[in-house]
Amino acid sequence: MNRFLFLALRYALFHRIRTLALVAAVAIICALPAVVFTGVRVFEGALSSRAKTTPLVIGAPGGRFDLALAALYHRKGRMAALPFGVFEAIAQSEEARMRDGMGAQVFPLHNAHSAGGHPLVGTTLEYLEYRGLRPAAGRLPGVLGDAVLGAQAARTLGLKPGDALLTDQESLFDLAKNPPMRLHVTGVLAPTGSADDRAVFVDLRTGWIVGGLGHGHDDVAAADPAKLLKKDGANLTASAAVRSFVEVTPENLASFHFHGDPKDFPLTAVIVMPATEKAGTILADRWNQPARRAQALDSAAVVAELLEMVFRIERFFNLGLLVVAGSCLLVLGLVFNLSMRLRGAERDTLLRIGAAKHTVGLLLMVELGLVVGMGLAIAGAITAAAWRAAPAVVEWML
Amino acid sequence: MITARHIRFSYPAHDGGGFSLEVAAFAVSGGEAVAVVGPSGSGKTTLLSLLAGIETPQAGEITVDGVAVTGLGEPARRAFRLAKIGQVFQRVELLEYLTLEENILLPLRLADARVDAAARMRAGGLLARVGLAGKAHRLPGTLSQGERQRAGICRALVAAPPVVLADEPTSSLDAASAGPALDLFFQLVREEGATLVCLTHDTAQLSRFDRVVNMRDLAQERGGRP
Repeated sequence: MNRFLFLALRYALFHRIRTLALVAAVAIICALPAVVFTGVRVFEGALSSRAKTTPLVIGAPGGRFDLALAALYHRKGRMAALPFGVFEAIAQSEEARMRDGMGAQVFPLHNAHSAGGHPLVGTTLEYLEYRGLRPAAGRLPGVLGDAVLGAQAARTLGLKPGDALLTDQESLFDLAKNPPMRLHVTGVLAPTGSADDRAVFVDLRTGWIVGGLGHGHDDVAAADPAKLLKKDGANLTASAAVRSFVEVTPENLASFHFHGDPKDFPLTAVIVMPATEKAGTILADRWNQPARRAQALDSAAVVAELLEMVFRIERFFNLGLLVVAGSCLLVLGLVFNLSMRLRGAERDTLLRIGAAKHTVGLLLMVELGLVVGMGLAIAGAITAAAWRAAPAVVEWML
Repeated sequence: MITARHIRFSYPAHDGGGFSLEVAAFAVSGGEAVAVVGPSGSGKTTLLSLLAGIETPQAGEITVDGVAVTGLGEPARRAFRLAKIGQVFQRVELLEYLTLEENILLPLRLADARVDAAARMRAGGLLARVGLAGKAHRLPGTLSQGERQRAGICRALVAAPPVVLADEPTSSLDAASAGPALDLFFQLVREEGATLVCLTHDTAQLSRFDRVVNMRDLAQERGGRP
């Protein structure tokens, strides 16, 4: 072994705590910006790719970030609901129907509820098809009360096709609220590495039933008269004794119905795939009119705006880190300088025995190289681990 | 074995006083053990540095074991020192982060010589001869001053140098330890067949040497010979 490397290694081992502290300092200085860079790039990639495949989002007026995050990543925000009638109007518009042969590229989303802590997304089968969501096990929802789980949701909840899942109780203190609904898990989707993996997908109408806009109960007309409060011709007023169903079964499926005008039923957002840029511009312009009581978003632009904030934070972070790194380097320099002074006797001994004058200097350089090398190796390992873990972390964050 | 003629060496001191050493003649025969005495500041340590090739005189000629040291450049002087000179210092400076064995083998490492089984065996043998068998893998910090001094002697002899230069090798030991340590030192140097030049203040030990040279006499043409 080279004599400098031998002496440097022995010195590093003898002062192992000091060496470890220096290596850790170098590793942290180098790893932190690399990990932040990695995280931000993966975050940017995840956000941008989803935005690119979701060009136009229409929702109720309000926070555009909330709307974009809800439509793209199924995040529940404090937003007003968009009437279902808007979806119908958009779907029937000339611009939305331009994609002949491909069917309407307009998807309704209703993200107001959750099941097992995961967002419950009421939508259409076309949305699943558009996102490339295919069952890895089981099948897609067929009737009311069916649910298909994203890969991560299924893993977290430990559910498989044939199992049941309760929707989350939304208010513990309001007995008038709807009770949780028991959903039938018909399938588990293949993982996609997107926000869809965390979601529980149901038919749009199932989402509305969970929200209390529709329900099923015993046939009032055939019910025990004791369960009726009032009978006025064909109008019957049932008492609370009439059974309401919290699970859709083949036997009670027909009893489920909605009250009110479906045009007024709530949506979180409508995703539109305009056939052309021009069609998109016309749609966005039309739905951004104040009279429409809606807003149309260019997802990519909103995400870019969001990312710009992230980049700004990253720049501040890097600036702070630069100052910390500079301070650490100064401390490192001071440590090595002091070390060189303290090792004056060692230097004299080596020189008298026959070492060259530059031996001690070279020895310190090799020691410094060892510390920096080990620090860089650890930083590299941390960065590699960050690259590997970043997609999962970002997916969890979104 | 060692000859120094018409040596003149000086350097300015920080306080402006400066220091100068003149040696008209100094000679030591092969296998001889010579003590160099003189008051502090008379240049004893400088003389050893000149003989070892650590310092270069402004004038004069030094020959050690047939090598004209004064004619060598810095790298050659270092190689000469590693090959021909074993040194025992006043304060034993063993490297704290190396074991005794590694400290003893240090001159070989610095000379880029192979530190193989034979070298380790020689180091182990020297340690055994100074009563440190079994402590080869101990760090200097765990040893007494006397043990460190003995390890320093082993380091001086590990490359089997023809010349050993010692700068008051027992000055850091108490009176009771100094005698036995010097006995051991002399015994090892004689067994190795090396020539010894030793600086000392301890007049009680002078009888052990073949010859005593006073720094005061070196400036004269007597060549340090009686």
